[in-house]
Amino acid sequence: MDRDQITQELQPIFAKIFRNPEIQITDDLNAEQVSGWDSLTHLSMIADVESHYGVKFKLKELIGMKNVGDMIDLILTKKGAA
Amino acid sequence: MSIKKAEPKHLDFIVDCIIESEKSGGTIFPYTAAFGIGIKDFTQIIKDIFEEEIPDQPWCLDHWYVVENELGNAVAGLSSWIEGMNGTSSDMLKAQMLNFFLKQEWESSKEKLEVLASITIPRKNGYIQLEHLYTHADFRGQGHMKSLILHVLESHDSEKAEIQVLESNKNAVSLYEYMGFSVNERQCNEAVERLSLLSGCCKLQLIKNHG
Repeated sequence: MDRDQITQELQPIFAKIFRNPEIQITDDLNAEQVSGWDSLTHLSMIADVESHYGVKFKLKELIGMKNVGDMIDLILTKKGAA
Repeated sequence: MSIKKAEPKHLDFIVDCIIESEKSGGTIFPYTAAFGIGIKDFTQIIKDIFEEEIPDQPWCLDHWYVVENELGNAVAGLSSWIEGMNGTSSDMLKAQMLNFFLKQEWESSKEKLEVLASITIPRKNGYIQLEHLYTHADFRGQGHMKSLILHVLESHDSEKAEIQVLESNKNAVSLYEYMGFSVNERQCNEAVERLSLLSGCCKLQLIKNHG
């Protein structure tokens, strides 16, 4: 598992949650850049990501995520691939 | 009476401030209404959240100020922070914390949460936020909240401040307008009141430039 693979796998999750099939996943993508990315959709997205990768984020990890790149870093760490 | 930063000994009073201010002058406690949890459970969750010491959102001890009487008891309090200082909105931080501590309840409450979210007004980045303003009933009408607000506004670097309140909480709205705040935005959804999620169906964002 590497960064590019996760980026590709996140695309359909984000497309479904934020109802945007064309959404482009980049490391610096964050809530301010995506229409419909509010607290509720954010938590749905986190739940789907946790389920997809079989990981659980800690509260401090969730709070510390500033963009998609931070989330990919955490997934890589939790999957032992960092 | 003296105004000071809150200390751990004030936590029970702070929980009272949160519960009573969330009722916003009415009888409905939104967290009970949305998540189906009792006040006792909510109190414990709030205390657990305070233990996390997560800044830039209202449920962090470091952001609380209280008015203490001569016996050392807190009689008024509020939470204040600068919105968006770490790049994440306080609403997002609060939602993440509630979701973390109320995982099961969150899943079964999604529809109600979506209704509540329909009157959410994004807080303004860089603005001083004043939240959970509450004066104990025995100490109202004595100017404590006015003094506390002025003290807190002067203690921040920013010159712009924001308060969000239900429009139905007339006494609170009157006080904030008297202190120079004016309505900037209004969001309404009658379903919020019909489903008994809040004591009113319209939320106001009031702002002030105190420079």
